[in-house]
Amino acid sequence: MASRDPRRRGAALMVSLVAVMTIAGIGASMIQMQSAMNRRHAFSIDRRRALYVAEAGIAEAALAVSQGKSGILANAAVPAAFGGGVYWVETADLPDNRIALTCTSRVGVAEFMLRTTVVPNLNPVVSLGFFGADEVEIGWGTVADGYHSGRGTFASQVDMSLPVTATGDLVKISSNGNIILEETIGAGGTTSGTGSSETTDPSDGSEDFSWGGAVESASSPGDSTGGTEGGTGGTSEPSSEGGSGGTSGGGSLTPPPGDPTRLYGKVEPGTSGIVQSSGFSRVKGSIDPLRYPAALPVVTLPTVSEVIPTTVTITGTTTSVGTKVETRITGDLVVTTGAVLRITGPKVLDVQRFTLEAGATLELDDSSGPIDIYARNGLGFAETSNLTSLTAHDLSRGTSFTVTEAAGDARRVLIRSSGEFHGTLYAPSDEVVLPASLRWYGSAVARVLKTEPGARISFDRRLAIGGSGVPTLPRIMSWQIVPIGEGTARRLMIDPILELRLRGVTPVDSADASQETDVLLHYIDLAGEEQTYAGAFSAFNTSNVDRIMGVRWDDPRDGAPRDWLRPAGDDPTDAIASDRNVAQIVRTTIRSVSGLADVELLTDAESFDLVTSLPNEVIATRAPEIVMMDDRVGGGAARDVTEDAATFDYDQWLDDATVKPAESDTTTTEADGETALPGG
Amino acid sequence: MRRRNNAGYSLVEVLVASAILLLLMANVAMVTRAGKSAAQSGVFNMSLDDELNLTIERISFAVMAADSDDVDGAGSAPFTTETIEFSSTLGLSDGTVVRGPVEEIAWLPTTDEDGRIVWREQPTTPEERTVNWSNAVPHVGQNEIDGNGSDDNDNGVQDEKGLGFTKLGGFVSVYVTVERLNGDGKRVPKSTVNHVTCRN
Repeated sequence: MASRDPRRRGAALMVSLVAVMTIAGIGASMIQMQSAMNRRHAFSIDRRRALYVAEAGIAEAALAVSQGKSGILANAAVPAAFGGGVYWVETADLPDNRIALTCTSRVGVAEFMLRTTVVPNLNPVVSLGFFGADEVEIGWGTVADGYHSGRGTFASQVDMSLPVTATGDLVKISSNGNIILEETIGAGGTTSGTGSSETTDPSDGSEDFSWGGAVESASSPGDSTGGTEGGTGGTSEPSSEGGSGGTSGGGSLTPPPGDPTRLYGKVEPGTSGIVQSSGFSRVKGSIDPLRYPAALPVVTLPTVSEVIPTTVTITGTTTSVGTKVETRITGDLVVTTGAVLRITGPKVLDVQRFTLEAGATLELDDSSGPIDIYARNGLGFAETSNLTSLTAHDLSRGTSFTVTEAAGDARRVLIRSSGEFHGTLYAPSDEVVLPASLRWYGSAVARVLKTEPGARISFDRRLAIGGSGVPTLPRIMSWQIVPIGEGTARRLMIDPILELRLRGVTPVDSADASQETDVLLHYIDLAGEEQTYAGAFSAFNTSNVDRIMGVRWDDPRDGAPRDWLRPAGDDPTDAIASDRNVAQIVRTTIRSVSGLADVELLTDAESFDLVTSLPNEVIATRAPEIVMMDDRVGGGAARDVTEDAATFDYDQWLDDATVKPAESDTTTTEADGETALPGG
Repeated sequence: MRRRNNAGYSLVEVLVASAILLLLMANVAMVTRAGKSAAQSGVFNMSLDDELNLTIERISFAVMAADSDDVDGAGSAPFTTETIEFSSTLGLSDGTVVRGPVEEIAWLPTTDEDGRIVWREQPTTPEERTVNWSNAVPHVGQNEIDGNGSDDNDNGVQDEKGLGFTKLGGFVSVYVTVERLNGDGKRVPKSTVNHVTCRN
C-alpha cells in the first residue's frame, strides 16, 4: 500500500489559496465600484446627448410647423433616428396659432423630454401691431384694441361689459420713441399733447391736413378723469417720469369734450421713451417699454414678369389690373371719381403711386389668395373715396400695402378714405395718419404713426403669421425640460437602437419623420399663372414652381385640412436670396482684402481697399442692406472716396457716409397725364 | 547498522526560510497597501468628480430653462458672483408666457472656509423650499476673476475657487469647485466650468 509522500506536507497551498481569493475579492469589489461609477458617468453623458437630440427634434418639428404641418414627427413605436439615438415629437394646437411641441429622445441609457411652444412664421413687421419708429401719436377719442380672426369674427370677441364696442385687450401700440396720447386739442385744430404742434401735410404739398375744427374745453370733469378699467399691470395715471415706460403730463388739465381715448392692450414706448399723457386717456393693459428697439426690415420690391409701361387710370368698374398674378405698372395707378377697382387675390401689384380720387372705390378680395400692393411713391386715398375689404376676416389670406423707403423723412401716404380695411400697411419712411372715417383691422407700421381723433383701430394678431416681402421664421415662445425619472432624465435598461433591432423595427430617417403626406399647394408657375396642386407631396413636380402662395396640409391626427400658411422662406421679393448674395460678396471681398474675417480688426488702409473693392452694383444698389449687415461698410459714398490710402481716415469717412437707398426705389416717374391729387 | 534519523530542519534553514517569508510578506503588504491606497485615492477622486459633475449638471439644467432677461445676481463677465436668481418658463396660458416661482442658487457657509451650494425655490417666503446640491464648496466671494493670478476682490487670496456665476447676454457661465480632505488629511479641490445658454 502506497503511503503518502512525507515531503507533501504543509499548508502552503491553503495559504496561497486564501491570499488569491482575498486579492480576487478586493479586485471584484473594485471592479464593481468602477462599473457603478462608469454607469453613472455614462448616464450623465447620455443624458446630455439626449438633451441635444431632443433639441434637434424640436428644431425639426419647428421646421415642419413653418411649412404648415402639424409638427408631429414619428412616434414612440417607430421613432426617428438621429445622432446615435432616437426621438419623436408630439404636438398640441394652442389658441392664436401657437403650437406646443413635446420631444422625447432616447440616447444610450438616458431618456430626455423637452417641451416648447412655437409660433409659426412670425412676421417681424406685422407683429409690431401699430408701430411708429420715431413716434406714435394717438388722437383724442381713439379706441384701439386687438383680436384674433382665427378665433372667429371681431364681433364674437367683443367684451359687452365695456362702454365701447371693443374686445378689451390684445392691441399692441409701440414705438422706438415716445407714444403721445393727444389730450389737449384746442382751437385751430392743432395737436399739443406735448406742446409741439404739427400739421401733417403730405409730401407733395398739394393739400393741407388738419385735425378738424376747434373744440371747447370740457365744462365739468365728468368721466374724463383718467383711470384704469380693471386692467392688470397698467395705468393711465402719470407714473414715474424720466424713466422708461413712465408717463409725463403736459398741456391743459381740462380734457377735450367727447369720449376719451381708450387703449386696450399693450402700449410700449421705446427703451428710453415714455407714454405722454395728462391722465385723461384710459389704458387697460400695460405701458412697459420695449425690451429692445424694433428694427424695420428694408423693403425689397418683387421681380415680376408683366410690366405695364404707363400710368393706368381706372374709369369704370374694373376687376383686374394686368393679366398675370404679378404686375408692375411703371406709372401711377389712378382710380377716378365714381370708378370701382376690385382686386382679387392672389395678386402682386407694383406701382409708382396708388391714387383713389374722391368718390372712387377700391375693393379688396383676398379670399382666394393674398394681395400685396407696393407703392413706390406712396398712397393718395382722397376724402370720400371708399376702401373696403370684402373677405370675412377669418377667411382672409392677407392684404398688404407697402410703401418703399424714401431719402429722409417723407409724408407720401395720405389715407382719408371711408370704409373698412382688413390688412396691413408698411411705410418705414413715411408719416401715416389713420383716419377716423376708415375702420382699420390689422396693423400699420410707419416712421411716424398717428391716428385722427375718434379713430377706430384693431390689431388682428392672426395677420402676424406669415406674410410677404420679409423673411418670416418660427419663433420659440417658451422652452422647458419636462422632469421624468431621476429629475431631468430617466435611466433606460437597454440602448434604444438595440431595442428597436430586437423588435424588428427600423427607425425612420429624421428628415422623413413628418407624418403629413397629402398637401394642397397654391403657387405661381414659371409663366406667371396661378396654379393649384392637391395630392401627395412626394408626387409634386417642383420644377415649374416660381413661388408658393400658400400651403395647406391634411392633419395626420384627423385628416382635416389645416389652416393656409405661407411657408417660411417664401419670398416673392427675392429679399432673402438677394441678402445672401450680397453677404457672400461682402464676405469674399473682405477676405481678399485681409485674411481677417472680422471687419472690426481691419486697418484703415484695409478698410479703404475693402470699400473700393466692392462691386459697383453692390455699393450702388444694396447700400442699405450692407449697412444693415455691417455698419462699417458704408453706402453710396464709398465711390466718392478719393483720398490716398495712406491718409485715409476710415472713421471720419464712416461718419460722413450717408445711407442711400437703391436708386430704383427713389425714381419718380413723370407719368403721362398725371392726375393732380384731389383737394379737400 | 542503525539508520541515522535526519528528520527536521536545521536552525539555519528555518532562519533563512523565515527571512524569505518575511521578505515576501513585506512585499505583499506593500503591494496591498499601495493598491489599497490607490483604490482609496481613485474612489475618492471618482466620487469627487461625480459630485462635481452632478452639481454642475443640476445648476446647468436649472439655468437652461431661465429667461435670460430675468436672470439676476450673476456678475457681468468676467466678475463672478456667488448667487443667481431666475425663474423658468412653464409654458403659455392664453397667449401669455407663464413663469414658474423664483429660484435661487447660492453658496451658503457651513464652516469658516467651506460652504454648500443650495437651490432654493421662493427664497425668504413661507413657501421656501431648499435642496442641498453639494457640500464642501470653498468660499470665493464676489468679483473674483478666475485664473488671472491676482486677488481681484482684495480678500487676500488669489484666484480662490468655489461657486461663481457670470452673465454675458444670454450666456451664463457657471464655475464650481468642490474640495474635500483625503485620507492623508490634504485638501483636494476639483473644479469645472460650464457655459449655459438660457433657452428662453
